[in-house]
Amino acid sequence: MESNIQNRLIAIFKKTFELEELEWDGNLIAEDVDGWDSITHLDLIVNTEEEFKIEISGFDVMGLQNTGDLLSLVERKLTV
Amino acid sequence: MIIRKAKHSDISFLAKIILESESTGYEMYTYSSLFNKPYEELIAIFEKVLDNNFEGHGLTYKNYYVVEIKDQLVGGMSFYEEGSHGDSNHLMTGALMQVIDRKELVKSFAKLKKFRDIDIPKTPGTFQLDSVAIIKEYQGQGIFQELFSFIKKQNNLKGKKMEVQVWKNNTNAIKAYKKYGFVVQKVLDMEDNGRILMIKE
Repeated sequence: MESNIQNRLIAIFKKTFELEELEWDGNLIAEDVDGWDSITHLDLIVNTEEEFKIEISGFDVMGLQNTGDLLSLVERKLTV
Repeated sequence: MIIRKAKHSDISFLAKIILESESTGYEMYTYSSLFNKPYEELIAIFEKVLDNNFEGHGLTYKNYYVVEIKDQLVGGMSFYEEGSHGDSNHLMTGALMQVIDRKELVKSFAKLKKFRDIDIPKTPGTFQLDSVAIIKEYQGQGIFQELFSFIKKQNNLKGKKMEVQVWKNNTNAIKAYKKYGFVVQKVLDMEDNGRILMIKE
């Protein structure tokens, strides 16, 4: 289940930032990923909401510091 | 003159500071043109946007300093360490998402995509000066100088750089920052303007 969520998130990252490959690491931050800026960050959140059919609030977003935080957030939302 | 960290009760003034500071920049890139709303409505939106306790970005009242003269707020600016609580731009996106309708925000952000060539990333670990404004009647009286020296004393800047981004056409701001020891680090040109990164060691 967990790796499935991670794989789906990796697919969202690749789609959002138009990347061919992404070496997933829970500590990745914006400067580690090409194209991950303030504009595409919103696209990333919207794409994540659509893929997992969850709602992510602005305050949820403000609590995210890296890719691992986003994975944990999605996992939390899916178990509620 | 009293200079202090902003309080929750200053939020309305800080919303004005944000809109005032962008009026000296580039019309196409302002919140007014981004969200296409009248001034009063934008003020009401930013009062809500600034009402969050997440530090490390320019859209929380927590990271602002204000200047008060005779019980009147006359100026202010945000000051925070980039990366101290995550990417500041992402935090600001979150603050906007909390208040503005999702579809409307996506539409507004789409307008920004044409400005990506002039996007200058903020350097993690540097202190960022943002949304700097002194109200008109009090400009040219050395208030920014007082505010800036207060902020320098209040924060542990040892070994840290400060960054500020300005529009190329805003020659007054560039001149002023040079006076306070900032140097031009990067210039990204566009057709009728450009973005400039200035730093101070």
